[in-house]
Amino acid sequence: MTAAGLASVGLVAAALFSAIAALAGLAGRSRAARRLHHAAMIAGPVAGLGGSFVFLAWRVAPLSLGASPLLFHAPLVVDRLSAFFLLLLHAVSLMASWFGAKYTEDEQDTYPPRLVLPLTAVFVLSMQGVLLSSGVASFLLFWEAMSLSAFFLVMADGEEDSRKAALLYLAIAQFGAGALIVGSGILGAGSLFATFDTLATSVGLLSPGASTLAAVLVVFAFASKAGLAPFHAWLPEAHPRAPSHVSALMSGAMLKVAIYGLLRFTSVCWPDLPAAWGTSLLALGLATAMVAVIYANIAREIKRILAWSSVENIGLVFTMFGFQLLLRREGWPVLADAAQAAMFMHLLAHALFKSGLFLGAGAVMHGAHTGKLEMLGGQANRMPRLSVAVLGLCLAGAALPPFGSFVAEWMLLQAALTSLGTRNAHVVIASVAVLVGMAFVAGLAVFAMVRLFSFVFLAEPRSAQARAAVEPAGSLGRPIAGLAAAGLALGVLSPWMSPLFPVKLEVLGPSLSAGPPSSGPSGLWLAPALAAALAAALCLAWLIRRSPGSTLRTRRSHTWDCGQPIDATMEYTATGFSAPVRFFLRDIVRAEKHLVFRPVVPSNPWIRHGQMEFRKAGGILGRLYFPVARLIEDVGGWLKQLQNGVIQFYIALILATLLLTLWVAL
Amino acid sequence: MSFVRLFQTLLTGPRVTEPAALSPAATTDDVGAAGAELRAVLANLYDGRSLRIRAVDAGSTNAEELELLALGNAYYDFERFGLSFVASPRHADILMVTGPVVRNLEAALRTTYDAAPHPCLVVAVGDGACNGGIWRGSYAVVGAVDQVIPVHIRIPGDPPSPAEILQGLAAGLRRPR
Amino acid sequence: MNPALLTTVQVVVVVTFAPLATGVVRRVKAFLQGRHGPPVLLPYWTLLTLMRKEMVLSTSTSWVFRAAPYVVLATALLSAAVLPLVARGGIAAPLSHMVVVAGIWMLGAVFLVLAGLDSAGAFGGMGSSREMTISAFLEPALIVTLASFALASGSSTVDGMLAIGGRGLLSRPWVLPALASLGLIALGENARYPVDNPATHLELTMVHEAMVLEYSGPYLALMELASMVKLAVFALLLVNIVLPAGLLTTATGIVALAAAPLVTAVKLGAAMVLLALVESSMAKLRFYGLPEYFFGSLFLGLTSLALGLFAGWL
Repeated sequence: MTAAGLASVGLVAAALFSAIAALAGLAGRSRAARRLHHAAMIAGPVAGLGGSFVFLAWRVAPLSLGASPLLFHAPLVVDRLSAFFLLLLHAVSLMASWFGAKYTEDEQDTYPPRLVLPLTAVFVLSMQGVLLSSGVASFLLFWEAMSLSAFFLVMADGEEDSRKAALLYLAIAQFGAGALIVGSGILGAGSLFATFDTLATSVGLLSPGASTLAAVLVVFAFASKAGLAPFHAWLPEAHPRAPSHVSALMSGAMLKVAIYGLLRFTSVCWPDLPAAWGTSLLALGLATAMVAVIYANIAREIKRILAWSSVENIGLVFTMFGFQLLLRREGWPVLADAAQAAMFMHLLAHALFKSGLFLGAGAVMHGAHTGKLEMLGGQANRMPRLSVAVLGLCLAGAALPPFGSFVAEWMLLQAALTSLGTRNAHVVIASVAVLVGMAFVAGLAVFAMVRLFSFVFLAEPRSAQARAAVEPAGSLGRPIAGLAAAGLALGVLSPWMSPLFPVKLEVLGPSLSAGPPSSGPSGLWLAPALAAALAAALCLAWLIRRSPGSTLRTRRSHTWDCGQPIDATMEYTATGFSAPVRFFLRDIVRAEKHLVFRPVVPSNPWIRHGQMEFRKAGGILGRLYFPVARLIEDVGGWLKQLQNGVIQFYIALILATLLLTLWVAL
Repeated sequence: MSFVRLFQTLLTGPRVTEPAALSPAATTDDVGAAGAELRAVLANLYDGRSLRIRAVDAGSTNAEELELLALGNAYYDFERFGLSFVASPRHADILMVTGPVVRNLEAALRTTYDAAPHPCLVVAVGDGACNGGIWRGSYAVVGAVDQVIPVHIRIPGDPPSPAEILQGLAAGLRRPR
Repeated sequence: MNPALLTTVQVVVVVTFAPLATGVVRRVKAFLQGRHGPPVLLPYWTLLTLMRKEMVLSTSTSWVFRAAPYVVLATALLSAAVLPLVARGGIAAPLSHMVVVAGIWMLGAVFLVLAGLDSAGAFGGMGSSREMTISAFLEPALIVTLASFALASGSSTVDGMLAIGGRGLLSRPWVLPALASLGLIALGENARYPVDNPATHLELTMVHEAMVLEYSGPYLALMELASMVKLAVFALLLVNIVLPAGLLTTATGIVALAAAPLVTAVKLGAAMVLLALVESSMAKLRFYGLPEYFFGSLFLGLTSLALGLFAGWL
């Protein structure tokens, strides 16, 4: 069988398995059906992973997987861009399903399987559909299926807060979908049944104004789905609410599907977006990342922290996208390619570590029955194997060497450094912003990840339930370890990863003296060299530790307590740990601290009972969303005055409208 | 300008640590000699020449603490002999315990000894620590330090002067154990 | 000379002299206080004593606490191997890319912070919180400062920054603010005045010391060696940026090998005397006064970068 044949068999089998899983999940009450569902959920991604790998590694030309009248006759097509995202999706969904097989069985009381199982399969299937669609209509169909299945999954546990979060998500998703439908309608000259190929020609016939309007609508649609500020408010509410393996799919895969949509539409319809688009997306992306990383340091619940970190990473992706767009328009294709490579590297790295972290959060919450940092701790002694995997994922999330996310950051920063030599004011200012902004975000991302890991895994447990936690079952832990290993391999083996990417991976050479960037040897081989050097340094440290004369005698004793016994209540808290961030950046966070003192005895004001309340100002919801909603409500309320029930008034209005229409028409 | 004056003072100001011979009480308070001896003893004993001390207050009147504090000042400057105070018993080679062990600090003293890595010498500084001093037999004190943890070196005095502490330390370390 | 030999010589020389550097700075500070001060070789003896002592591990700690000393020392050793300190153009020199160096330092800081939190005491947590804040907020300043050096030299590896001919980086006077910024970063990263007091015994004021309070014996020796190496690395890096003379290269003969330790000792000694003078002439900043420090160094770095970009245009 040819490589193309193998690839198409794999990808079609993946879709079919997902469909089988959806059907089997509907009969979720039966044990056998659930087994079938889980088997299909794992078999599908395995086939899809194989198919997309073969497609990418053997450099198969774009191929059609067949058309169906159900999909409006637009064939399912896979090319390098969609194959990369399919690889990413299948990798994430394989691990999420593997984890989910045990997780959904154990959490049946919280998440009803008859709801969660089929919806998860539909969710995965619709993401595959979005990636494979070559027609606008089928793209929109799958897009809506993806949004709706995610909506129901978010409120799967049936709690009030989950319903609120899901509704917020649904509102923004439908806003986005509406914008996408209108935008595609404009692009297809009123028809939604265009394929991407015909779209490329029809967009040329549009007036510049209409084209720009469509671009704004389409970019808004994908940016709101991906969580770009200021349309990110739903993400930290909704992602933590879903079952953990679904959160992993949402953060790891769904956000990437939104980025795929952006890349697909922009590459098809606007191959020459003006540079200003690059600048504005870059600015929005950096602002998103900066704000989100601060909130990631303030949130006190594992999955919320992870969700904010997803917003931050999406911000970085938009920064990279905007930067490469800007560089390309200003005439520096080599630099643009480097920034683009960084973007794809970051997309894959983020998919791996974030889904791993969400699964890890699920495993911890499964064992300790809480996700609150202030109630956790001490899990490294209770779940040693899980803690190793999660530490790896956290280091990847902090973009530290030698993980894949670090390589992505390195690629981007080197591109920004080289851009300093372009002597193009636009580019130079953008690259200085990228350098400063990325470094700011990187520093605080490390802070957030360290905080997350420490307060879950280190020191003494802060509650009885955390003390009673035990190592999760192997089928929960192994997918997490697998994702951590994949994130590590992505960094260490990056020079050999290039065939899997739709673009050439490279770190530009270190020289930035020449105006046009030197086409020196790619610096990517330094990534494995760095890993090797780190390993060598670790060996050297070990040798120093084991130097002759040193002792191996160890003894266990309690933590040094200055003579006064201490317990977990005296440990540093997660809130206290990030207090400097809150304080230093108080103008951005706008937290309000209220101190109330009440005298205990009326005669002496100094013996008093103190109470401190710490309230985060409304955030984006309070500052932007609610005022807009209130404005709409007010306008509505004002307009409602028209409906005063007096028939003469209505007739007068009709008359006025008629006269106005006549006046305008004539 | 202020920086210039500051550096002038720092660089050309008087050396406050005086050589042993100039010390007014050179015959009894022979700090330099005691210190030199201590260094020699440490070199033989520990092969380390570095001795890190954790001071533990087990209920003293603070008289001993003031003397211990004086060890570090510019006049006595015990750091020149390779000694230093550290912030945690985990880092310490020696515990210097002061005061009769009061009942409220008995557990604290025990846990401190437990927290220090061995070999860890315990030095009882002052009469209170050596034998309970004037509080011996009181209901509020346990008594001498050796009733709670093993004591290796005793430095009597109420309080012992810094020079006596150094001499006592040197003598105690010299004694074969 | 063989590049592999250059890197080996550099690591050996830096690690050998690192405790001496700490000894010198303590001695000079004592001298400035009118004291005699501890022997300069004392840090070696302290490390040896610690290596031979028993270890007491807290019952609250996990494998992270035991892994941290190795990682912290490894990152310090790695930075001593890749940066141009004694030799330039060693086999590890391509890894001295500024982003990589920042990443390595951050990795060491992260494990130090994790170890501090793992001890389950309030002091460790407090030190960790402060250290993490310092590392995180100095990151932009570090990147911008190194970027302005990169702009001045045309290379984004630190090794390449020192490879430019003539009078080195300082032939472009606009890097001076960045040099000052690197000095501020070095003080912050190494827990020196005015960010931290390396000699404090008061837990409430500690940053670095609070995180290693729980360590004892050989692990404490590894941690202390790591911070000594890191201090020596920063000191030599700063000296070499000002005065790149005396670095071994692949072109130098085997005879120069003998002079390398001497040159390094002189450079380190000079840096340590300067450090002692700086530390003796200023007070420690309030922790909540540090934002000005962080943004000051970022601003210095940005000034250099802006001046450099304008100089490039003219």
